Amino acid sequence: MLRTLIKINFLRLIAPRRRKNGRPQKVSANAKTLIAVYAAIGLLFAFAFTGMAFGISEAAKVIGSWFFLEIAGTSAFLIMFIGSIFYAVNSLYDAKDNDLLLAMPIKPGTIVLSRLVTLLLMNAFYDVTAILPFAVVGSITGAITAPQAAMLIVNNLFLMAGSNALICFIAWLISMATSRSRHKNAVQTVIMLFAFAVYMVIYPNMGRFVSLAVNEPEAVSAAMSKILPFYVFGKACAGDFGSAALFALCSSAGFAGAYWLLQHSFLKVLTTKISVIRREYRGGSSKVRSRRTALVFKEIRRFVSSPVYMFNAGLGLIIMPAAAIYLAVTSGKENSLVALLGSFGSHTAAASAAAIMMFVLSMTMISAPSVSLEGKMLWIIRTSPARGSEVLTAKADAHSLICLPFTAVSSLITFIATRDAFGTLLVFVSLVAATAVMAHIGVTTNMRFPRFDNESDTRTIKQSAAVMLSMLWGALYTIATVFAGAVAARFIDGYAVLLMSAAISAATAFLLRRRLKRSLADKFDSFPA
Amino acid sequence: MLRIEHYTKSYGGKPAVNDLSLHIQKGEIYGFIGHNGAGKTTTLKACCGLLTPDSGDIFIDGISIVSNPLEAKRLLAYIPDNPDLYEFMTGRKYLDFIADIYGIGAPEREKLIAEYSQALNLTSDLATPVSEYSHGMKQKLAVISALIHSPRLVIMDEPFVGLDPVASHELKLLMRRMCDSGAAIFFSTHVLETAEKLCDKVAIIKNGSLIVSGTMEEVKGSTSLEDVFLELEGKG
Repeated sequence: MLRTLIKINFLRLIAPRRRKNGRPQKVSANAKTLIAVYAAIGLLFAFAFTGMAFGISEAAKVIGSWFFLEIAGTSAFLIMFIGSIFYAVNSLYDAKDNDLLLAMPIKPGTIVLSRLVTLLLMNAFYDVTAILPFAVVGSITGAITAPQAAMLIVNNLFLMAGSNALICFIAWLISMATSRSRHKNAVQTVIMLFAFAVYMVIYPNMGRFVSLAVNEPEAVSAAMSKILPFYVFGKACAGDFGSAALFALCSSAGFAGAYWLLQHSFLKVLTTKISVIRREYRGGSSKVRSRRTALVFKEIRRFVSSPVYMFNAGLGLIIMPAAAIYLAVTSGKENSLVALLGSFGSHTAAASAAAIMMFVLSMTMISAPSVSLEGKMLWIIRTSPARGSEVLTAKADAHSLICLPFTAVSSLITFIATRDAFGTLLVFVSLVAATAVMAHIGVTTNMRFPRFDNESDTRTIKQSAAVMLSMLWGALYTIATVFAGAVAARFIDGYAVLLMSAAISAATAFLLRRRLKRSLADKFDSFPA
Repeated sequence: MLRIEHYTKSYGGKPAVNDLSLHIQKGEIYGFIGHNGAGKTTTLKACCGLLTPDSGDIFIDGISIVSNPLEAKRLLAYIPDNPDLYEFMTGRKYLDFIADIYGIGAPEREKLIAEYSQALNLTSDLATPVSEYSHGMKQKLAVISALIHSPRLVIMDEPFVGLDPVASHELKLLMRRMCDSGAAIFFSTHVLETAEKLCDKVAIIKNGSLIVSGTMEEVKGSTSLEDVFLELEGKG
């Protein structure tokens, strides 16, 4: 039974489909794309950790190999934690087949264990992207010896077990908190804000940490030796058998403890549901909207009603004003980023600020899962007299509308940095046009890779091929546009660069919208529901 | 009102519905009966434009759902067997959304929402998010949303599943009232007693093919619908 449940969980991840002629299962094009996207993401992570490992290698030669190994373990833990904490909540407690499985003669412990093993295997993917670069780079640079590299691989198995235990424990806490609250969305929002704050503290300071480790090894060494679990991990990998035994014991006990806790509380968490406060219906006049507006507002309502959707697909909206504030706050300082950006040529400060914002905007993927999110509700739209073109363009327009106030505020903040009113206006215009491109890329990609059978919205929002590919296309589009702008800035004024960028984006959005209204609308109109 | 002409649909080479033809007149409540997997839901979905036919055509008040789907959809309403509705909306917001899609003005929608939600005892829950609704409440909401644009043809897949006895009774009265005012209803059910009492006409489908259709009297004669159905299924 356990093997069957694990197999089902994995089939869901890669979504193979039986071919129409009933021959044995083959991996579908959708699954192949998803695997390719995961591989690309893995390579990106591995590339980032390789750079970090090279940086730490120098410090490790002064401090000791345990330091290098501790950083490797900490990095692997962080990437696992950030990558899977909300997935853990979702796969354990929000899976749509929980009721079905619990109604069968299957022990809750078996269901929990199958989910834990799946989570463990998924985390192995994140873990390898961090541990492998550290092991290879450490061996090449001499920061660690070959036996230490081997110990890193062995101890890493216990690290994964321990990390999984902690992730599952926090997932349990989150589920306990939300299942006992009448304001589930508010609780989820607070938790996600906290997770985001932690991420924002750690991620921007990684580079600073590496340079600090090189320049002040003693201070960093003293600080790192206080982070006990990872310090013990570092010592264990460095060859201290006492630490190795302690780490293995604690991690194994942690995993067993987490399993015990989860299986004993599984039923209780799932069956503890406090209904929301029911407001009394008082009637009242209706707000009549046109069909197009109703479709746009439906998409906006879906977005704002889901913390998971807001924080995963709308991450760029939070970072964009933060980036603008950073530019504004640092603008008065000597050697500020704004001064540097403005030194390339005439009005290049505004153009460069727009480029930075555009990169952040490409992280906003509101429209990318919007078609798949129709899921089992697709029949509502498909039986209504709404055209496919109206539905698809409404999804793109909702994305643009949601981004608009954030773009406006961020553009205004850049005015404080650049003191350039016309430049600010052009920044706003170019960002609005870029947003339209991202919005249409999202819907277009989702129409290429729709998936209506995901067992939860969280998976559609966080892990679907459409979302990952949209992010990739968005980033590539931004890189291409910024590169073209940078080349053009050598010959023309910054204002002209911004106008050029806005024109390119507007033209691209127009072409994508035309495709949405034609061939993709026909495809939408023929989806079986 | 509904004309199905030689409708054929296959899945992976296996026919789900085979050369089905059926005519439903205005004012008729037409029951659609068959065993599990007989092709009822496939037929009903095809009538709403959710599935394209391999061959044949379906006309709603003379308008082809295949070649002119938007015009045809304006005239019909569909209630699926498992009403998955937008859980991020309240009941009232959902009804307003549907009313907006069909272009129903404020006074008319107010009147119809009040009337139908009172009849199905859902008024007090209209401010509650759909995510908090039970299956039966969702079914009621799906029924109200189907009726608020006054469709000429209502297609229902197992409409009584999940409804409490009072709501079930009210829905039957609503169905009769709608047909009396000139609309038509085409619905599938496994509850043969309900079909026998409610339907003007009935069709029995087996393995994708129409076995028998006609007025209730023509189909059942002096016996019960259950006896006829069991006999046709080879269980009599």
